[in-house]
Amino acid sequence: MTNSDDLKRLIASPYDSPSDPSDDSRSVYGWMMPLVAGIVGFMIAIAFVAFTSEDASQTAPEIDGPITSLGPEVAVVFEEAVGFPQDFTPIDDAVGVRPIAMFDIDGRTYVSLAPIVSGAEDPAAVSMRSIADWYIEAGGETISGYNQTSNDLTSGGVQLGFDGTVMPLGSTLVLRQAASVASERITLIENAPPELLIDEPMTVEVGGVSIVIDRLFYNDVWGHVEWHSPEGVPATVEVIVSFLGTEGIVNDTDLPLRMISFNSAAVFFDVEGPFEVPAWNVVGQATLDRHGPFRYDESSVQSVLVEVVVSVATAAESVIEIPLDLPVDGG
Amino acid sequence: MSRRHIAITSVSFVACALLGWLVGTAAFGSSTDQSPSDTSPNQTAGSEQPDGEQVVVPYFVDPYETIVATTAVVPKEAGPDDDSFDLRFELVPLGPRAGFEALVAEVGADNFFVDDGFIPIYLKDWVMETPVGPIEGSISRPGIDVVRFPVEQGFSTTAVEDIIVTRYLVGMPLDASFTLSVAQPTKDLYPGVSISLRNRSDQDGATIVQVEVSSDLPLKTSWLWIAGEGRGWRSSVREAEGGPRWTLTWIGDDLPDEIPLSITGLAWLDGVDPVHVSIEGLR
Repeated sequence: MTNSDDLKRLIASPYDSPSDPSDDSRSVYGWMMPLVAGIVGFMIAIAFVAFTSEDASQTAPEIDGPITSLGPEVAVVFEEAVGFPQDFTPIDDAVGVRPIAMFDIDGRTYVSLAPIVSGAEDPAAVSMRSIADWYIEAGGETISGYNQTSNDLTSGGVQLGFDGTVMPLGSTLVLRQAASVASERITLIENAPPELLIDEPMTVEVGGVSIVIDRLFYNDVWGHVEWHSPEGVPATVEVIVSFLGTEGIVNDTDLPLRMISFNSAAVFFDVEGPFEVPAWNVVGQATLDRHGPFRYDESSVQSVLVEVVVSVATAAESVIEIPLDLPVDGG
Repeated sequence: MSRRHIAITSVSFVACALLGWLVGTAAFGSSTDQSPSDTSPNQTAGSEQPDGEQVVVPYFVDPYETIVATTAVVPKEAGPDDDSFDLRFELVPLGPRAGFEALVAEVGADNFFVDDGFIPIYLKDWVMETPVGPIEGSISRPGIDVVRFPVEQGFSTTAVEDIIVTRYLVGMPLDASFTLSVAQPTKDLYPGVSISLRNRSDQDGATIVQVEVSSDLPLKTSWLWIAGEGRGWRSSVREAEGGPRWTLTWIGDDLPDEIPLSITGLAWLDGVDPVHVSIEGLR
């Protein structure tokens, strides 16, 4: 330091600006620049993290529907199903079922089962197997199965009927699949009269199961049949009364005049009518409707053949239990 | 500026930047631990799953399908069209054929209650959630494969937050017994369907009974059949024009006051829970 510098320092006022910019320990450079640099660094870091975070969320959009909430670290891989959706209970390797509705009509409960085919199978190649045995266990009681019905409108849907009113809380639907179905066409009377009332039971056996025809009436206009299974085995029973000799009267059909019970018997003979898939029952009745030539000469009738077509199902050993937790709609 | 000040400023910048990165990470989360390979376009936020887990989602027809009863609902097109937002979808039945395999094998399955192409699902009422609130849509009858939500001009697909089917019905087989009487001429058979005794005419040796089915749901009369139960019923005839009325004839003078009848065919039954339909596969 020179003498001149010493003199300047000696006479300097405390209000004078520092004359030496390098001596900036108390200037703006002393504290402002590090502060500004710190704030800028902090803001840049915050902005960078926020930007990269937003970018990541855009590559992982949320979806609704079959996929629920998963984390950004969870990889979702779609694969073709080989089993059944949740809530469906397998009743065999190919079909699972889920109860979708319960309702009461006149003191009987009906449960509707929606079936679905395993992802490993082609739905068009799978038929819904019959259920041979079905009942509901509720509060220590058993409500027996009454009837079972299905048709081709409903993608294999099945309605099960029960002989009583069921409160679903804590109840369990118990099913046993059909291991096999035996169908047989049996001649009841070979040379029957053109009008007949049989009011005494007739028993036929199919697949080791007895079916009793309790009452049968027919003429050449209509008829009626009543039957039951004394062992409580679900069955389908159809009656066909054929007036042989009337074939070919109308158009070129080879079909004779027939009295056929309402259900599936008609489909055996490819005649028109209000067809339905036969329902399984332990007791049944049906009206016999007229099919075939509307007019015919009575003298053309050579003989009358009375047949019955009976199907019974053998229950599989495995038991399927499905909890029922559906609301019951009153009918 | 002295070297000392340059050093202090640099240290301050680096230290505060580090502090900012830590604070920002805590506030917004980090993307640096998420590699592109494990970022599926189908991931969602809000995980309760352990980190790094892989979830396999099975599908029957399409990854973005929704299973409703026995049917897969697969969205095909979604977007605004003038004053509506339209969602077009495909219904793919997943159920088996009707059973009774022994009979089917013998006579073929073509003669039962048949309606070609009919799929037993009816997605009736819908809601589309948007930032400005829910928008309702509906489908007037089964078999229609598009639902329209009324929207303002300029509505964008990006505004769709969720699409929900709030009421759907499943076609199920029906076979039930019931009675009607002059004293109690109407009965609710199952949700949405009731049956009424329109007329009972007791004549000498016969009784003519007319019944009518009514429903707040689309119901083809060819899907139903009303019959009598008991040994006196001679016939049941549906109204010639296809109306929901049947005329039944009882032979004899002994038809009970409580007339025993049965109904078979198809019932539309309400599904229990709403279902979500995803359009993410179309975005």
